[in-house]
Amino acid sequence: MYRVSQAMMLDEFKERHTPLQADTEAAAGLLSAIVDSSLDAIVSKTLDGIVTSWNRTAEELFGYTADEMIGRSITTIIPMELRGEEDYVLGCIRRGEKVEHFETIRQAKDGHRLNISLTVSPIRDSRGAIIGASKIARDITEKKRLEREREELLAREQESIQRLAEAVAARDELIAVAAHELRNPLNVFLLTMQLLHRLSGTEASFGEARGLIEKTRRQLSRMSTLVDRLLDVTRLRTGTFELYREQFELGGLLKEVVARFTSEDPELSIVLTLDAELTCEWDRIRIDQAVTNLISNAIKYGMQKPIEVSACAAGSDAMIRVCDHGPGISPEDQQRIFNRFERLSEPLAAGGLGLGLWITRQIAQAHGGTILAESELGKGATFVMKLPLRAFDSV
Amino acid sequence: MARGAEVLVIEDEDEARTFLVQILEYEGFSVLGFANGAEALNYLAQSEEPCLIVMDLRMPVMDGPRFRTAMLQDQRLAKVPVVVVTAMDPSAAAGLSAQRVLRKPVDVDALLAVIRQYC
Repeated sequence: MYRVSQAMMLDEFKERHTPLQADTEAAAGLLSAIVDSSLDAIVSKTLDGIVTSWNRTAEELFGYTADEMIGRSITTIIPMELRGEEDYVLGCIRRGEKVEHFETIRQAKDGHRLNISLTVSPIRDSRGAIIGASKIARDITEKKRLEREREELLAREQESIQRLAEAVAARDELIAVAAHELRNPLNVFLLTMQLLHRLSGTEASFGEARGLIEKTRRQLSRMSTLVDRLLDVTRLRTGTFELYREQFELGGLLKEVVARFTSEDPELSIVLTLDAELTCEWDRIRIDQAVTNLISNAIKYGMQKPIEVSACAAGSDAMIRVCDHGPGISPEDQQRIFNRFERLSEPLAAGGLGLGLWITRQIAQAHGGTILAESELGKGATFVMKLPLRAFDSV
Repeated sequence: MARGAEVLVIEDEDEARTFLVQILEYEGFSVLGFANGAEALNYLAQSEEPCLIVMDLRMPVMDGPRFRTAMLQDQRLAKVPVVVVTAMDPSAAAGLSAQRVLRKPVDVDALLAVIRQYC
């Protein structure tokens, strides 16, 4: 079977390909078929840039038919601002040089632009003289789009990496500052223990020991506040900061907070002014924390001068003001003190995590309120927190 | 007490300073406390050099490094041994030529051992 069919195929081949004339025609036909079925645009032109052939893909790619293009200048598809390229390409061809993978832009009949990669080779006649150029154009619009997309993705990725690195650096800084801030009360705590240990071997009065224990309790509560603040940062960052609203009277809360400070340090002078009774529906613990932060700051920076705390109604809001008579805050510092990890610039820096005002602002914002600092250098600072009273009006 | 009679404690935190002074006094040393470098420098300008100085790094008005630089520029004070007690990383005391750097919370026994060496 096999031999028979092979012999038949051989006969057929001989029949088709014996005469020379038929051979040349067949080869030309074959070449034409290859050119027409190519997925690349294949075009030929004279040394003056006049198109002499235009395959099917060229028709599809550029929207001009072969009839429209043959006899016309190739510059028809070259955007105006790139026409100089054609002189360069034709210059290379005249010198017998090939132009390979030349990436450029061409314009289709409907005006849309394509990214293409060109390979242009000289066409020679039977004597070897250069008579024109063959041009293979590959549409790389998609490739270019993917490249752009990749670059954009890469840029976005780098941006994310950068943001992540900044977040890690901020966290590292927080850990370093927290360790530093925890070491100080821990130091006092340990020194107190050392002192108590030594006193226990003497006839020290009971009162002296009690005083030391009270001081230790204060250091421990300072450490506990620091730990709470660290936890708040985590809660605020992960969005698990929730308000537990309850109805209470603002003046009562402010009296409580002020009393806490003055019982700790009887020499403190805090003047509390309450306009009217203000019933609100806020998270009592958080508002306590916010006011405590503001008064702590006023004490820290207030240069032992009296501190004024007041509350009044301002339209549909309650306005809480905490005012100190310290060195004041420069306009630049007023902008940044509410940011995380910010402390006042030296020499006013008084330590701390740099989180108090940031947390205070988060608390105000969570209640739909605002906080801002009013200050002039040398004239003290006033922190004004406005919180909406919601459905409750002042009585 | 070979060099001088006093130990100076420079620490801005009131309680930390007061307690350290009391502990050192209890251990038999003559101690003076200062809240910052400027106060200590002021005192040293008109007093005999102490046998040792215990100092914090981060303080208002004049911090530890600035105080130490001023000390090293004064021939008389440059020889006084210094122990740094800090809540910061010990590397913050690099270049201060301190005899010892201790981290807070301070190891009182280690501190006493250094003081006994010089006072």
